[in-house]
Amino acid sequence: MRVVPEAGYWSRIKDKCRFWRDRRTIWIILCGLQAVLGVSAVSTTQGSAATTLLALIIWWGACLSCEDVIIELKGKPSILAAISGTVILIFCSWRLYATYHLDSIIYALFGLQGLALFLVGWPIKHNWRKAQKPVFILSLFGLQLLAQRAIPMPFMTRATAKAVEIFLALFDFQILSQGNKLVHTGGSLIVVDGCSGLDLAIQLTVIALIFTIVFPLESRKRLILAVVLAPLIAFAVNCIRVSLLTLIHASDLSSRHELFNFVHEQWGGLLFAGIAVSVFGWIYLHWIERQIRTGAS
Amino acid sequence: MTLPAKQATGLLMGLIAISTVSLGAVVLHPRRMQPPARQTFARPTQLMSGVRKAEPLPTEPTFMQRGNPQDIARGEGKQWSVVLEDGRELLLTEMPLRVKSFNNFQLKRMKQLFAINGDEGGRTKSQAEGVYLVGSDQVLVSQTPKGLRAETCITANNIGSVSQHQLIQAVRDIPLSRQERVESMLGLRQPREWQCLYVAVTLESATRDFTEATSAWRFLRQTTGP
Repeated sequence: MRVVPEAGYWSRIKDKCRFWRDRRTIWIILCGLQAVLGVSAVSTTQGSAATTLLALIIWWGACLSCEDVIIELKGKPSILAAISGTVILIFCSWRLYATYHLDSIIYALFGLQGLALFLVGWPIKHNWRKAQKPVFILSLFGLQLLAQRAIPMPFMTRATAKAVEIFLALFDFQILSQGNKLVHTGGSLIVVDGCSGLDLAIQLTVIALIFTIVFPLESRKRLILAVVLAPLIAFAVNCIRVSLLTLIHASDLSSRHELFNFVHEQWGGLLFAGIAVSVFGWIYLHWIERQIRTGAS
Repeated sequence: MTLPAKQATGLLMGLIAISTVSLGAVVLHPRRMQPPARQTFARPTQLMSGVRKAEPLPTEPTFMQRGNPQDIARGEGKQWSVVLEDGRELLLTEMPLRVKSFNNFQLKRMKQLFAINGDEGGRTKSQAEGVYLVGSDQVLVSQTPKGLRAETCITANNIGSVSQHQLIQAVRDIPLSRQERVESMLGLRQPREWQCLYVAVTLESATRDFTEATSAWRFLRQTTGP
């Protein structure tokens, strides 16, 4: 007696194979690989957890922004788009491999990757608008470099020190700021680039821009406010962090060195980054909810 | 005119293959992932990054060359004594720069910047005309007829006490040679930035710590800027 396979068994396997042969699936895998490639290159060459985190945020934002568009993907590009996309993608893949930290080009490669991925997925003629959002979000990686070049660090560090002095004075702590130095009775601390909060401000600004693109607010005033508010929240949270560091340094706790290191090093920094993002997210969601409620009424 | 279905699938598959190879190369590249050869060098102090404990600024150091003349003739083993005004003495020992752990691309850039004559073994000729102490990091910037040169790495006892203002002073003393090349390669604009860049890249070549070199550069840019 022959055992006949259950009806639909082969067709299910065939369906699965079809899924993996589907150009949309292949395209998504390609995007995933390019994203991992980009983030890995940043992580291995830039030597900064904040920059790697920013790279992750940016790819996450790009992914969110093209969620609706992917359904329409046929994976049949025009010949011209396919050739140009392939050339750009090969260039990006090679350049990400050949990057080291002094190369500013890595900040432009994400945008190029996005453009190339779009080109190999769609016929360009009638679909250019679909690519705008993800390509723009991926280009935001360059914001980091722009901010580092444009924002004067002495201003940032002095402003942080001054803000910390004012913040701690509210709670009757006698801390004096002299330039970028915070002086207390038992010693002093210098706020230098790493603690100026610039990285956090850039991260939060990028998140704000992603939010405004992916979950747009109808009120233009609020849109602008969200983008302006993000770096201010980051600055405020960073000031709280530096204040905490100053208090720990000035204290006579037995575990003050461990505490200082925790708040100062990356885990503590990430904790404060998380707080800043949560505060911003809460405000933005509140606005979205209000918008939905107004729409419903 | 769109690409036929089969060719479009093939193209995407091909790109996946290229991306996978690139990803593998980025992640597994031994030189890239290899930690800097720190055992050769003393750990740089944390002067340039994060919040640090402030230290009183010592006064200008005086230099005094020591060391075995034979070693010095071979271009290694020079010792520098830096006597600070408060009586403390820093003893700096010159070591050859090892260029082995740089990949070819980085090495090419380094050679362009500093005209390093090092071979694979990492030995460099010592032709320093002038020697500058640069800050608390283990760096000796040398001026040669060809321009600046990152030829040495310094290990020092008590190195953490060397101050920022020595660093700034040293940067101000560095002559502005090879500016055009640096500008064309890195797109910098201000003369002060060029000066700072030299030091930052020198720091990089000596300590192999890219993050600290970058933040050192930023620090210098802010302190020596117009």
